Amino acid sequence: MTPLAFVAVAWGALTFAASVAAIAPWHLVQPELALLLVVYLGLIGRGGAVEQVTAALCIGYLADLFAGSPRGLHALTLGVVLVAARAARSRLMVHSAWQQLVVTCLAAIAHGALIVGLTSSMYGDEAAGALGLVPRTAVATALVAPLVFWLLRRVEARLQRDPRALRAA
Amino acid sequence: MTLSRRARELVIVASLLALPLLFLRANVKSPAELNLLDRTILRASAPLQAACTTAARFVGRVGSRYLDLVHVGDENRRLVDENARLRAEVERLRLEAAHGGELEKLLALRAHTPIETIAARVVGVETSAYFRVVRLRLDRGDLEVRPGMPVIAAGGVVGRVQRVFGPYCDVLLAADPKSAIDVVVPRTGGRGLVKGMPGDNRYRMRVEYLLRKDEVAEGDEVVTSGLAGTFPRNLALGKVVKVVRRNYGLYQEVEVEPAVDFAKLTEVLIVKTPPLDEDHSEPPALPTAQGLP
Repeated sequence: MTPLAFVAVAWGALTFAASVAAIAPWHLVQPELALLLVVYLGLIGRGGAVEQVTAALCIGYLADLFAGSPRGLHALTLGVVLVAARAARSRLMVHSAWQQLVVTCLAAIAHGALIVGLTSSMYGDEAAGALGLVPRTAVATALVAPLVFWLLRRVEARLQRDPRALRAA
Repeated sequence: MTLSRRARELVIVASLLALPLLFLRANVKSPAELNLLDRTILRASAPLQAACTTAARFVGRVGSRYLDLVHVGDENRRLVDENARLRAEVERLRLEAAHGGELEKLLALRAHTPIETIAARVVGVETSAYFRVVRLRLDRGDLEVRPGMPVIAAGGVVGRVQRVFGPYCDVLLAADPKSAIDVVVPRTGGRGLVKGMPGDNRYRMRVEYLLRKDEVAEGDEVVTSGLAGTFPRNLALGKVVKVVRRNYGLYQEVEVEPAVDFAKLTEVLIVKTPPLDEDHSEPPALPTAQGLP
C-alpha cells in the first residue's frame, strides 16, 4: 500500500471513529487510530523515508482537523513517531498480537507524553494534568492494535492482488 | 544506500519535521483561522461524518433490539416476540418522547432567551482524548456563526464555537482545560472562573479565583455571571461537588459537575451575541438558572 493510500485510509478511519464516538458513551478513552496507522507504516509499511514522513505529516494534519487540536500538533508528534518507528523497524518484531500490543502501547505512551509536553509548553502547566489520560489512551490504543494491523495487512494484500500475501494476512 | 544519499534523506526528513513545528507555532496564535485546504477537507468530511453517525445510531438501535431478544426461549417464542415487539415499541416511543422532551426544553430555552439563537445538531466528537471538542451541523445561518460564540443546551452551558467551516462548526466544550468562563455562585455571590480539569474523564470542571471567605458548599449552583461579555447571565454551568478550603491562601478549590451531560449531547443552540468591540453593554440575562421548564 502506498503512503498516499495510508492517508486515504486514515481519513476514512478518522471519519468513522469520530462518528462512532459521537454515539458511544465512553468516547473520552478511545484509541488513537492515526497513531496506529503511523506505527504500522513505520514498522511494516513500504516506501522510502521521505514518502513515509510526508504521509505521517498528512495523517497528523488530518488528526489535528478531526481532534480539534492546534494544527501542526499531531503532524509533528506523528512525524516523530514515524521516524522512531522506522529507526526501530529492523530491531523490533511485531508479528504476534502480544508484540503488537506491547509496541503500540509504548508508542502511545510516548506519543501521549509528547502531546501533553507540547500543549503544556503552549498553554501552561495546567495542560500537564492530562498526563493521567496517557496510560488509559495507551491501553485503549494497544487493545485495538492487533485488529487494526490485521485489517491493514488485509487491505494491503487486496491492493497488491497477491493471494499468498492475502493468505498470510 | 550511499552516505551522501542517506545524508540528503536525513536533511529532507528533518526539514519536513520542521514544517509542522512552524505551522504549530503560527496556529497557536490564531487557532480559529482555517485556510482553504482546512475548510475543503472539513467540509468534505463533515457530511460523511454526519451520515456515518446516522448509520451508527441506526445500527446501535437495531443492535440493542437484537440484544433484547437474544435470550428468548423457543417454546414461548411467539409470546416473547410479541412482548419484545411491544417493548421495543414502548422503548422507541419512550426514546421519542424523551427526545421530544429535550427538543421541547430547547425550544422553551430558545423562547426564554432574549437573544437570537441558531439551532445545531451534534454530528461528531473529538478523536483525541486530550481535547474536548464536538462538531455541529448548523440548521441555518452558517454565515452568522463566528468563533467565540457561546453554545448552550437545555441543561445549560455547553461551550464556545472554536471554528466554523460552511454549515459545520467545532465547539470547545466548557470542560476543556483551555476553556474559561466567568461565573458566580448565586447563593453566596462569590465570583470565579470555570475551567476544565485536564485528565478528568467525567467532564468535571473547577472554579478558580473563588475567594476563601465565600462559604461555598457542595450542591451550590454555579451560573454564568455575564460579566465577560460573551455568555448571557444566570445560565446554569453546574453544581459544586467538592470544596477544599485550606487555612492559608486567598482562594479555595472548588470542583463542579457540569449541568449538561456532554456525553449525550444531541441538539444545542448557538447564541448570537454581539461582538464586544461593537457593543460594550452587558449581555442579556436569562430568567433564572433553573428557569428552564
